[in-house]
Amino acid sequence: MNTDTFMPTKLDKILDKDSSFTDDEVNILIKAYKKNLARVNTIMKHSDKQQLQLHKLNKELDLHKVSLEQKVKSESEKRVQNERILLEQSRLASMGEMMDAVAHQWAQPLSVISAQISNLQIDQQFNNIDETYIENFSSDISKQIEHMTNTLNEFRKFLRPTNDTKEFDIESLVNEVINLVNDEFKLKEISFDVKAKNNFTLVGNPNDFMHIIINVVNNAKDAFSDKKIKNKKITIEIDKNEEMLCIKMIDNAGGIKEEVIGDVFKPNFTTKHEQNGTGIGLYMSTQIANKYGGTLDVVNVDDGAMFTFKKRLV
Amino acid sequence: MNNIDIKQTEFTPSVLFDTNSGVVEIKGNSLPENTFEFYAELMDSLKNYFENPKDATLIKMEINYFNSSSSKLFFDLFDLLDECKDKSSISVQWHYDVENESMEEAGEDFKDDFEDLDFQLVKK
Repeated sequence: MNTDTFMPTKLDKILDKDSSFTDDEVNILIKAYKKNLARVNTIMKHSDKQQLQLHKLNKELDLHKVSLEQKVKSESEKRVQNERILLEQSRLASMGEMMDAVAHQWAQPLSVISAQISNLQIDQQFNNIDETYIENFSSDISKQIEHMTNTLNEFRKFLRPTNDTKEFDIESLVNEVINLVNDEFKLKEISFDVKAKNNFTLVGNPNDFMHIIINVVNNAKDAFSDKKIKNKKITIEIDKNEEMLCIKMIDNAGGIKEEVIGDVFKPNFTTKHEQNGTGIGLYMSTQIANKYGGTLDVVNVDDGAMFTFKKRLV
Repeated sequence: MNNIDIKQTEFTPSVLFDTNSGVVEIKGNSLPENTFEFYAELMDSLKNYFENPKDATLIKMEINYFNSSSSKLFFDLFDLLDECKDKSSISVQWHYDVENESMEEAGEDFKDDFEDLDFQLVKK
């Protein structure tokens, strides 16, 4: 539609004329021209003013953007720093629990060595010591020391912060964890049952991933400690299919109270007595699971809790 | 004569024309891609309406932001009203937000340009 449609009728009539204009008509046209010129100026003035306002708002927006970017950067740095602190706290908390486990692991070889030494004195009194005796004695003691050294190395490997990234298989890792904690768990009459239906590998830092298994089994151990349960058992199932990698850790320690089950992965949440729980272990475990592109969740099953690490492949 | 009821969008205002009561309401942002096409229905209806208008006609405008061609169109609209002011008692209400300085100033300019129209500036 043409703008002329909206022009005032009087002007339309003059402009539609074919013949020349009268003086009156020229005056009307000049008046209309001046009026329209004034309007054009008004429109331009508004347009300029709005452009200026737009420019100012854009500038303000840019400043907000920069400030927001700085805030996001600073908050991200703080978050990374907090994660580091939490990881360190988690490591220290694990270290405390590990020291307990080391003590249990060493108790047996130390008592064997102690018994061997006692026997040595008795055998010396009865002149039973010959070259073969010394060889056997030396071999037995060496075996015990080797066992202790291996244990110590395993713990050092777990506790030492490393950035080593490599492919590791889950069944071996689970067995390593069980070796680390087995003596202590045996003492508390807790058994392990590992079912590797379909074993799989992950790429990353195995020590990091070990935290997940250790934290979950230690939680199960603590859950067992208050209860009189026969056949205390932790079942670890390793499975994979075309869509998913999965590790299920199932205990029969009675489960987690429904009112708190949604909170167990929150930082600083613990149901344990202060000296036993930091509330960081399971939180850090979820963070590590996420780092591997997976999730860690928990549900109550028949007579206990089931923690599941899942990683989708598609 | 048909009433007009155009819904508001992000870039175009709502346009209501109740020909029975003689009330026109335009509300929102006026940034149409083709301004003259957008307002054509209203302008044509108003021209028809003024063939046989009500005793009183109220044009209520509440514009937050308008582009240059809308500005030109508003001048045309007020020209039409100015030409028809003897046929009906016409009032124009220009509503503006107290913080929207541009719309206040635009209303003042329109008011100055159409001295013979009953042009009221209404602060929100």
